[in-house]
Amino acid sequence: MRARERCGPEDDKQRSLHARPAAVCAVLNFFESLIRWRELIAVFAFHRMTARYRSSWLGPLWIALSFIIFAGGIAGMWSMFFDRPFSDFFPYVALGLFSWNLTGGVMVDSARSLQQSKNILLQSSVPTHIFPIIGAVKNIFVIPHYLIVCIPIFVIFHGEYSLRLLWLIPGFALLFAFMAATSLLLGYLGAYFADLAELLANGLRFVFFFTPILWTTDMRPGMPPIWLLNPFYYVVELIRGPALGTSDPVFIYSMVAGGTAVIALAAGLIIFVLRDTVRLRIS
Amino acid sequence: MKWRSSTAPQPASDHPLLSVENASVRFPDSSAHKRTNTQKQSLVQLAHNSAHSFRTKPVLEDLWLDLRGGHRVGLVGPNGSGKSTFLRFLAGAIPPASGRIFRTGRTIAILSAQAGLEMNATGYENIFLRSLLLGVKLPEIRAAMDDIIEFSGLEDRLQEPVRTYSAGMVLRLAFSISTAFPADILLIDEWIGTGDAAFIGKAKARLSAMVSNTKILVVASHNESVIRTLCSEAIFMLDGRIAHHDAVDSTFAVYNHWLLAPKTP
Repeated sequence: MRARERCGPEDDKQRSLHARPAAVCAVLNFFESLIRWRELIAVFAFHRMTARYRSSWLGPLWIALSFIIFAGGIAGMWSMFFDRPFSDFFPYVALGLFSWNLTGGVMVDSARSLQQSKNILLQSSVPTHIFPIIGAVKNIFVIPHYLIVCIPIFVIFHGEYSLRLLWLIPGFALLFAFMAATSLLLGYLGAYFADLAELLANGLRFVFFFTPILWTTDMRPGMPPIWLLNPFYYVVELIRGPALGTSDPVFIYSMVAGGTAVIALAAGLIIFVLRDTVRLRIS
Repeated sequence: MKWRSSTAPQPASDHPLLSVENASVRFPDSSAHKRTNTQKQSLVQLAHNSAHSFRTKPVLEDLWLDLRGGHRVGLVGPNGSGKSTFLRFLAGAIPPASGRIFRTGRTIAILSAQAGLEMNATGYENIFLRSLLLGVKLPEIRAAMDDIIEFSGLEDRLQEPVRTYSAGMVLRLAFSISTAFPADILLIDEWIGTGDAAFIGKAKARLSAMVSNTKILVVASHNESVIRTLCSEAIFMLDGRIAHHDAVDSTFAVYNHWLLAPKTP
């Protein structure tokens, strides 16, 4: 039986049998709609992902190529500047960049998603929250492009395997949850504040330098751990931490889980209030 | 939650229902702050204008409707009377500000040709994208694929991006997709406007076949003969309200009387 039937007021008999609080209904309806529209989400996300390298000669290789050039180039130069072994620094930069690109991509994509889908929303009854989710799924589809580079880098330059790697399983799950929650929150905010997407696109470039991706936290011994104030630090460590042993997964994961919960709650409240009226706002 | 309509088209149902209970639709009133947008704004003005932008104005009011299988309704009324907005509201693309709307059964709305077409995607991809937006599942889309391709007459162009298509080709593609799947509730805004003569003839036949298979039809048109042919009842809309809802003859009598009556400004 579908969640709506259990929750809807149209069937009073059912309602009395399965009375549920409105918030539970809203959450059930939300997940039910994701399942119901799964094909739409997947096909649109795949289309939006391939749109960026449409009709180019190297196609999907561009994503992997630009990633390896950027990570390799920076790591090569920085390792000379700071006199660090390249084999240490390259996987560090690559895995940091991996999480960064994904979360940054989700943020910018989702902030634009509802405005971008204006034509569709004006005509169809597809729930509005599907479109930020498409932005998140699009970035999940990008992951294999990075992995075909990141895994060889890890194997060749790091090559230490331990049980700690098992943390990556909940790590990826947390990363997906974070991406989904962020995309929903920013998706709705972006529909109301058209500046948000531009602000993010430019602001993130700035925050990038404050996030330990191109630098390591142990470069200046005695420096107060100001990076702990940067929420992106935890997201970046989500994958890099277990892979390279740069941080304690328990601490990082509990921080990200807590943060994701707060974002999801905020997103939930916003969706609850704006899910329908946002259609009027963007028109 | 105010909006309890089924937000998604559902599989074919034996008892389709389109029911509106005392609903109203309000749009954000942007006229208030647009007026001063060109002028230099003080902080006070800016705050004032932001508050204004949350104000709304009524667009549709006092809507009651109860359609079941077999109902064929024509919407008539002057420009700006809310016919298209009403159709978008019935399609679920606009939420009610008050009141309720219930919809069961698969709804297909043919409101605008370009809606949901991704200009950078190929015609072939767009068949999938647009059909999915209609709430059709992938197996059904694949089954209908040959029919869509054949009817659109675009076999040799389907691998090219839609942005390279002419306006008529875009219309043909969009129309072919929207009419490829059986609907319980069919909402049509204006009966086929553009396209070349050959296509209009084909399209009319296809749409008529679709209409005869649909259980609930709501069609807005300025063409009296279209409504007389398709519909058993008609709604005269005026200033965002249902001014008259009765059999076609009766509604046209009221409408034509209104058309001929001198207007008081």
